[in-house]
Amino acid sequence: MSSLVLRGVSRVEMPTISPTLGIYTRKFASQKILQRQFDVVIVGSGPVGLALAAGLQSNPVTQSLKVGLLDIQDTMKLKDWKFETYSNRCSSLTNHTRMFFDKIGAWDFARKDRIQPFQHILASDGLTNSSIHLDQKPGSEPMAFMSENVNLQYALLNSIIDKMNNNIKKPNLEFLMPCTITKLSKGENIYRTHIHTTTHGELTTKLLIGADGRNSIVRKYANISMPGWNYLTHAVVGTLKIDPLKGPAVAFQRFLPTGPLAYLPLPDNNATFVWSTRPHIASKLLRLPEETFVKFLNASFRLDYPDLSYLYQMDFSEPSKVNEQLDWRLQVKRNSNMQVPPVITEIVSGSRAAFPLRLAHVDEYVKEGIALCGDAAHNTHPLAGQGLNTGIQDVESLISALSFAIKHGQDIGSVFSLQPYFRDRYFKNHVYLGVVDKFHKLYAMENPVVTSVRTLGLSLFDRSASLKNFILSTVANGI
Amino acid sequence: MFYLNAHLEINKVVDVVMSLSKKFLKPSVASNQLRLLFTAAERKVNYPGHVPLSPLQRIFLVAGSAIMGLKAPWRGGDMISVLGDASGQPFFLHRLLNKMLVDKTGREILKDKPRMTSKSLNLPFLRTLPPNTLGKIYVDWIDKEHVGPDTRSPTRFVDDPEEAYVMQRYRESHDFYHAICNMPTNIEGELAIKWLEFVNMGLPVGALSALFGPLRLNCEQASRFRRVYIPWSIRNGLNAKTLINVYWEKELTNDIEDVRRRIRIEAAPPLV
Repeated sequence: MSSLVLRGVSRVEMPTISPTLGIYTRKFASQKILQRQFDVVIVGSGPVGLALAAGLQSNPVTQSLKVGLLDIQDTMKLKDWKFETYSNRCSSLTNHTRMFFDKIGAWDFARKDRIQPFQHILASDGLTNSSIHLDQKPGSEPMAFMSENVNLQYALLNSIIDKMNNNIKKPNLEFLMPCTITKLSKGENIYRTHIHTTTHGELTTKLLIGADGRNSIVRKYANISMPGWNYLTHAVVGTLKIDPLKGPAVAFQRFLPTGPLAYLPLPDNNATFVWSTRPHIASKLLRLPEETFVKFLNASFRLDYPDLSYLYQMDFSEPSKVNEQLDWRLQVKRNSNMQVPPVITEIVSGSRAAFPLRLAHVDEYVKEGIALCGDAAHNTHPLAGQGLNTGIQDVESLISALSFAIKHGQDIGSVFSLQPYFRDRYFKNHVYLGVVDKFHKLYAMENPVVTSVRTLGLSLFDRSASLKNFILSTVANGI
Repeated sequence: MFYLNAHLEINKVVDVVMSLSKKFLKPSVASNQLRLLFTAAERKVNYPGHVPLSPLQRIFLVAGSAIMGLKAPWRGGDMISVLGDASGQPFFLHRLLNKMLVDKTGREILKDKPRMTSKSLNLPFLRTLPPNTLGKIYVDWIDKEHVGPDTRSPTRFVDDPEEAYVMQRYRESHDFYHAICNMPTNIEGELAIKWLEFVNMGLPVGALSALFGPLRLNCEQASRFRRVYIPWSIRNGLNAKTLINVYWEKELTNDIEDVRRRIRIEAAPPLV
C-alpha cells in the first residue's frame, strides 16, 4: 500500500531550488496571502467541464470541496442564452447521459422545446444500400436525444447558479471567466498546482482537472502524450431546415466509402448533419453556394455511390453544371426501397463549418494532482455521436472516485485517489475508440468481397433481434 | 406475318407462366412472404408497357425463353429479348447503369434517353455518307443483313424505369456492335458478339447465349469459333470502353477507324 503512494510521489518532477531561487521563494512566501486556494480547479467550461462542476456541487460528499471553474471564454453569458437559430454544435445524448443530467439537477433547466428525442436510427451501406433499422419498443424511453451543446451549457450553468442562490452557506463553487492562464506550475508546496493568470491573479489547487478539449493546456503541462492518427477525413457540419415531418423523428446514417454521413433530427422541422468526407471534397462542399450544397446533401442520401463519385469529381467552381446534374438525378424515379431522410430545403446561413477528424487516446488520464476528461483525454470520429456521452461518463466516474477518496480521508489530488477513475475509464474508452475506428475503416473499403460480406452481415443483423437489442442497449446506455 | 407469330408465341409463354403462378398460389396456405414470391398482383407498373413479375415468374420466364431460344432459332431474337429482360434483375442491369453513371458520355445518354429508329437515325442521310464513316458502314450493314433499328422489341420485364432504358439502349445498340466489329449476323457472328457483350458489359443474356449458343454449331464451325472468335471476343471485351457508353448517334459521320481507336476495339477477322 505505502509502496503505491511512494511510486506515485516519485513520478512528480521535483523542482530544483537554486540558492538564488531560494531567495526569491522566500520573498514570494511573504505574499502568500494574495493566492486564492481551491481544492479543485476545472479548466474548460464546455458541457463536460460544467457537468463536472455541477456534479461535484450536487454530490453530498463532494459538495464540500472548494471548486474553481476557469475558461478563456465568458461562458457566464450563456446564463441568459438567446434562443435563436439552432447551433451547428449538437450532440446525441444517450438516455444514460440524460439520467445523469437529471440526477445532478440540470435536466430541469434545459430547454426541452429545443431537444429532439428519437427512437429510430436507420443506418445504410452506401455501396449496397442494405440497411439496418434500430428502434425502440413503442412506449419505452427514447433511444437518444438530439441537443445543442449550448443548451446543455445553459442548463448546467443555471442549475449551478440556482443551487448557489438557494444555499445559505457561502458558495463553494466559483466561476472565473473570462480567465487568461499564462502558466501552470508546481510551487513551494509540491502537492499544489499554481495557476498564473493575468485576470484573476494566482490560484493554487490540490487537483487540476483538464476538461479543455483536444488542445488541452493541462495535458501539455502534465507532459501526457496523446498518440493517435489523423483520418484523411474532415467533418462538415451545419443546421438544416427540412420539409415538415410526417411520422416519428428518425436519425439516418449512410456509410459512404468517403466517410459516414449522418442526419440527426431537431425539433420543429430543423435538423443537423455531420458529413465526414475526404478533405478535398469537404473544402469543395464548403465553397458551394448554399442552394447547390443543399441539393448535394439530399443527393448524398439518395443516389447510388457511382452516381455520387462522378458528382464529387466535378468542377465545383461551375455551380450551374453541378446544379444541372443534381436536379436531373434527384428527379429520376427509382424502383428502390431505400429509406431516406426528409427533403432538406435549406441550410441555415453561417452554420456550415468543417473540422479535421482524428483518433487519439492519452497514455494516462491522471498524474499527481492532475486529471483529464472528455476530449482532453480522447478524440474520436463523430460516428454514433458518442463523444460527449463518453465525456459525461468520465465525469461520473471521476466524481465517484473523488467521493470515495473524501469518505476515506484521502487526499483528492493524490494519484492513489485518482487511479480508480483511470482504471474505470481508460479501458472502456479504448474499446470504444477501437470499435469506431475499425467500423470507419470497414466502410471505407470498396472491394466487392468486403462489401458482399458487409451486406450479408448487415442483413443478418437486421433480422437478429438479440443482436439488435445488444446494440440498442449500447447506443442507449453507452459502453 | 413472321413478327406477328413471334409476338403471339411470346404472349403464350407469358400466359403460361402467369397461370402456373396462380396454380401455386393458394390463399389458405400462402404466407405473406410466399405471396410476394408467387404473385405480381401487388406490384406497381413503373412505365408504359411495364409488366411486373414476381421472383418465381421471373425464374420461369428466364428458363422458358432460354429453352425456346435454343429450340426455335428463327424466333431467337424475340426469345433472347425476353431472356434479357427477365434475367437483367436484380443485379446486372443495376451494375451496367452504374457504369453509365461514372462516365461523362454515359450520363449524357441517360439524361437525353435517345431512341434509335429509322427516323431518328435518318437512314437516307446515312446512305449519302463517305464509305469510311461509321454511319455509312452501319447502314450498308443493316441493308445487307436485312435488319434495322425498328426490329428491336420494347423492354417489358425490367422494373426500374432507368434500368429499363439501359436494357432498351443495350438492345438498340446491338447492330452498332456488329458494325463497329465488322461481324455478320450468322450464327458465329451473333455468338461472337454475345461473348463480346458479356465480357464487356456483364449482362447474363450475353453469358447464357455465349455458353449455350455454340451447341448449334457444326464441328468445323465450333472449331473455328473456339480458335479465332472466342479469343478475339475476350480480348476486345476486356480492352474496349464499356460499349453502352458510346453515343453512337454522335459518331455517325466520323471515320470508323478513329471511332475504333477511341473505344479501343478492333475489327473481327473475316469469316472464311
